Amino acid sequence: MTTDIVRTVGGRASPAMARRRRSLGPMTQTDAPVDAESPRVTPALLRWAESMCGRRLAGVHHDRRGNRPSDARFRVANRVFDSARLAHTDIAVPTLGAFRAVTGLEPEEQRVYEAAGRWYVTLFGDRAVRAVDLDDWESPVAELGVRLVGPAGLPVEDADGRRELRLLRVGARRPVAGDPLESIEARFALERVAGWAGGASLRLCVADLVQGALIEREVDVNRVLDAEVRPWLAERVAVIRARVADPTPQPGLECAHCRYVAGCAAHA
Amino acid sequence: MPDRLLGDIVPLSASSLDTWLRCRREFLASQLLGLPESDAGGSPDQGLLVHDLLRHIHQQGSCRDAEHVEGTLAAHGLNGSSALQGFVERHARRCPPDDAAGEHEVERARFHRRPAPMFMATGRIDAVWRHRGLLDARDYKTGQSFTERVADDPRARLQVWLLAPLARHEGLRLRLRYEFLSAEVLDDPEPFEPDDDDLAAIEEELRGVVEAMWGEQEFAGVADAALCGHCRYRSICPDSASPGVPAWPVPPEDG
Repeated sequence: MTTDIVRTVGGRASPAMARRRRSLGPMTQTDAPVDAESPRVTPALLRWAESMCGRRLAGVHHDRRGNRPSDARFRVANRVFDSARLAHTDIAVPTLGAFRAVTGLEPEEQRVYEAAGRWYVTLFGDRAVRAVDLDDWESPVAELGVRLVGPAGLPVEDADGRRELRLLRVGARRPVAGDPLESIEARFALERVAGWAGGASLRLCVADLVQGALIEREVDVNRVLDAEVRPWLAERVAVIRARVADPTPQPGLECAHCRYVAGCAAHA
Repeated sequence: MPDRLLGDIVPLSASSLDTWLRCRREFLASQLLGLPESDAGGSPDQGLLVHDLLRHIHQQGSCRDAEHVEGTLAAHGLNGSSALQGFVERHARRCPPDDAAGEHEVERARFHRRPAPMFMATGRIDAVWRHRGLLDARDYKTGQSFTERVADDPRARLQVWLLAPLARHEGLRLRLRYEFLSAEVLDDPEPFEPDDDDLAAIEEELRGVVEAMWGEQEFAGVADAALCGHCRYRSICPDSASPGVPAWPVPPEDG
C-alpha cells in the first residue's frame, strides 16, 4: 500500500486528499472540478439520512473534526480485505496461503479471520483475477458537488479484462440475500468505481465471509448508473442536504457513537 | 500505532455494563471488537414481542380494557396466545392508573465530562409514566429475577442516572420499577427511588467502571462453565470453560 498524491478530477490535489488516499488511481472521470473539501457522503448518511440526528449528520457531511472513535472494530474486516487483495497481486485464484496467520489480532479475531479466508477461497476459488489498484477511500461526484467517502469494495479483473467488484462483509448484520444492487454499499461502491468500470459490463458481488453467502449479478455499468444509481444518489443527497439545513440535536441512543459531542446543546 | 480499543468518549449502556461486569473477554469481543457471534445465546424474541405488544396496547388504549387487549393481540396475529395474555394481565396489575401520562421506548443519553474519563451513557427505557408527582419508569422483564432490590442492579443504577435530569427538569420524584411478567416470578424486587446522594454515587461508580476499562490490559475471560455456557463467543474464546465448534456455516470442503 502506498500513500501518494494522485491525479484528481480537474487535476487538483490537496493535502486533505493526500492524507486520505492510500493507493493510486483517479476515480471519477469527469471534467468538472470538485472541491477536495466539498461535503462528504458516506454509506451511513445514505442509509440513515432521515433518522440520524441532524447535528451529527451535519458534522459528518461537513467533515468536522470530532472526538476520536475506537478504530478496532474493523480490523478483522480490514485484514481480510488486505489478504484478499494480496491474493490477487497477479492473476491467480485465491488460496488459503493468502490467509495465513496474521499478527496483532486477538485469538477470537484470528478465528473470524480464518473462517473468512476459508469462505473467500470457497466462494471465489474458481476465478483467476488480479486486483485493480484504485483509490480505496473516496471519490468526488462533480455533478452533485460531494465526495463519496467510504469503502468501494475490491475491484478485480481477469486475463480477458472482465471486471468484477467484490464487496466483502465479515459477519454482516443484514443478511446477504436478493439483488446486490439493493445494497446501499453496493450502489455506493459502483458509483465510486465508475471511472474504472464505466462503459463495460461488470460482475457485482456481495459476500458474507462468515455466513458463507454470496449474491452476484452481471451489471451493465453505464446503464445501471444512469437508470438506477445516480438518480437514487441525487435523491439521497437531496435528503441529506435538507436535513443538514436544520442541524438540531436529537439526543438518543446514537449519541453513543457520535463524534460531535463537544459543543452539543443536548450535552452542555 | 496500535489500534485504539476505546474512543475518546466511552459509550456505556445497561447491556455493555452488564457484559463488562460479567466477563471482560466477552466485553472485548462484543463491545470493543464487534465480532460476529460464534454461538447462539438466549433468544430475545419473546421479550421483544412482549415489549412491543405493551407499547401498542398503551398507545391505543388501556391494558385493563380486555376487549382492547384482545383486539391488539388479534391485530398482531397473536389471539389465542394464553402466554401473552398472561404477560399482559400480570402487567395490568402493576400498571399506573389510566389517567397517568405514559411514553414507551424512551431513549435517553447523558454525557459525563469531568472528572476524566469521559463517557456517554445511553439507554432505552421501556416505559415512563407521570402520575402523582412521580416519574415512574418501568423495565419489563420476561425472565427470572436475580435481585431483591432494583437499587442493587448496576443496569438499573445506570438507568436512573439517565433519567434523573428528566425527573429534575419536570420537578418529579424518580422511581424505577422492574415488572417481572412471567408467571414464575411472584414478587417484583423493591423499586428504586434514588436521592441526590445515590445519583452522585452512581455517577462515580460509572466513572470508575470506565476508568477500569481504560486500565484493562488482559481482558481475561471469567472461565466459569455456568456463564460461558450461555456466552455467544464460547466457541472462539481462548478462556472458555465451555468450548465448542462455532455455529458458523462451514465451507463444503471443510465439512
